[in-house]
Amino acid sequence: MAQHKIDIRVGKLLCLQVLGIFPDFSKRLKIMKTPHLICLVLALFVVATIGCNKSGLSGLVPVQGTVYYNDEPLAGASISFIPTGTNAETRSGNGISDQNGHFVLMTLNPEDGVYPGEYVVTVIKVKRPDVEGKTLSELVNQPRETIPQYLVPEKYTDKEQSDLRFTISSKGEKELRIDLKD
Amino acid sequence: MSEQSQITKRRSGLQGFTLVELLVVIAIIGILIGLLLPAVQAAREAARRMSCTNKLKQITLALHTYMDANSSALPNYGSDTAPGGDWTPFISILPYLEQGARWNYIPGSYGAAWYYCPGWAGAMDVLCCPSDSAASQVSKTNIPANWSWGVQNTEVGWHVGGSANAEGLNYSTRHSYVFSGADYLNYSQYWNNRNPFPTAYTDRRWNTIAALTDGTSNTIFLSERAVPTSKYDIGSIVSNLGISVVANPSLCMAYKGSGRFLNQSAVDNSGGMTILWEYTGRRMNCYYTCYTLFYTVLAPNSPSCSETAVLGPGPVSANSYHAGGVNISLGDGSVRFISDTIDTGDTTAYGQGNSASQNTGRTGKSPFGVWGALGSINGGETAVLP
Repeated sequence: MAQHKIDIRVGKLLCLQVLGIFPDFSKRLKIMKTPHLICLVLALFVVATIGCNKSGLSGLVPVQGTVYYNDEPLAGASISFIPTGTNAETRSGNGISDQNGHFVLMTLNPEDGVYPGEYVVTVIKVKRPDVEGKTLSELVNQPRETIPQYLVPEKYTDKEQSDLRFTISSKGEKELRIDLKD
Repeated sequence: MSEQSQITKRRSGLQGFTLVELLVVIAIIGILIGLLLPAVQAAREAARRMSCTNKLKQITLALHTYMDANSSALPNYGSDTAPGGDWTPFISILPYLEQGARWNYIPGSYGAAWYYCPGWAGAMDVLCCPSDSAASQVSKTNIPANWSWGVQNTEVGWHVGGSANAEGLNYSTRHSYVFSGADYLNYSQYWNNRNPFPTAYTDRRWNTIAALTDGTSNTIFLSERAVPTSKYDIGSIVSNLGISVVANPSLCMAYKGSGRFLNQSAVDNSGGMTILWEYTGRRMNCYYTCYTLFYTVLAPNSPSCSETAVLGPGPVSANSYHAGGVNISLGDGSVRFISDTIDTGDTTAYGQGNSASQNTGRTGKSPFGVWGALGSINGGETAVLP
């Protein structure tokens, strides 16, 4: 919504500028008495037509950061921000770290952030079963693993055991640091 | 200056427009047309969506007609006669979708007759949502004489449909709609006691309409799940993620990219995964999740993930080409549009049953909010459509 307010304001200013260039024309149309109103209506119309196609959640704040394991950046880890009981919202935030361990959280759409509040954080990185060079029939008959081979200490992978707790303020976070230790 | 000339001057001033003024008027008209054109395109999509909704309703009505003819029993997955369980409600309702000719071709058992069955060939209009253009992109002709599907492929090949039978993929009937697997993640309908369409291979062989104790108007029958057109399509199944994606389905969300695509860098950064895209919507006769099912766990238009490399359990999500949501049909025959922002409760809850012990089924209220509650037939939730 904040974005729309800015759009409307910019649209209105642009419209006033255009009218200002042609004072004669504006006078002839007898709208000089109410240019602000007319420009506001025009801007609202334009924003309503082209600006409202996005579906998303409101109230999210941007959060990004870096995940370290024994002070080394951890690449390819799934980071999950799970709301604790004190949160009004139940939606969780998720991200995947890149080669530098950097991640951007999302709730419903890419990089849309999370709701402010308290979170318990899990970091999961597993050794995936090798799929290279296997036939489809081998892959289909591959048994399900009952105990995953975690590449991080197991306590960080379980929301009940994880001691990673973060409180996201209403301003979001630009450089959140998640530290995993053996 | 005479009075006459003053009048002439004023009149000419009133009558004429300057070039700049004309240009401005033309520019404004241009802008208005520019605004209108997207609106016309939106009208086209609105028409397609309406047709899409109508087809969804036709399928749901066919399910009801089937029930009327079969002692109020809903069609199920699997059958006594098709070993391996390759049977879906789509096949059961063929006669009620005016597809009696196809139905007459369906053999009673597996084997060459099943593989080569003309019942799987060509497009079936009622299963193709017009917004999902890939759904109708199959040959409308019958199976070609040199069709090698059955010859090349074992039962596994039939399920999996890899590159070996790309030819077969081009000819098999596609579908934009999938059945609800409710809120119990598995690779098929096994042990799933929450959905309207169970498999004949568990103790619950079929449901009658009376089994929908949450009420038919609060239970989802079908949703849209568009046919994926590329590896990074949102409908492709990100696979080999391990058991954690069943333990915490929300992990799958991070693979969502912009528009109708997966987040390519997230997929590539995770490493060691398989992406299944030649699956969904390409086998109307296969009971595996990746073909004819979706789960009411992750919100509409979320990515889909799987635990194992091929055909594994995991959150397979509804998706569509309509902006901001999907059409679903309910047990009472009504069709509704569900927004992406529907309440999905705690998507970090265990996706399979109520505990870490697998294959026990799920009981009680769905942890997945209104979306999960609409999926379950007997969760006892009070949630209703928003």
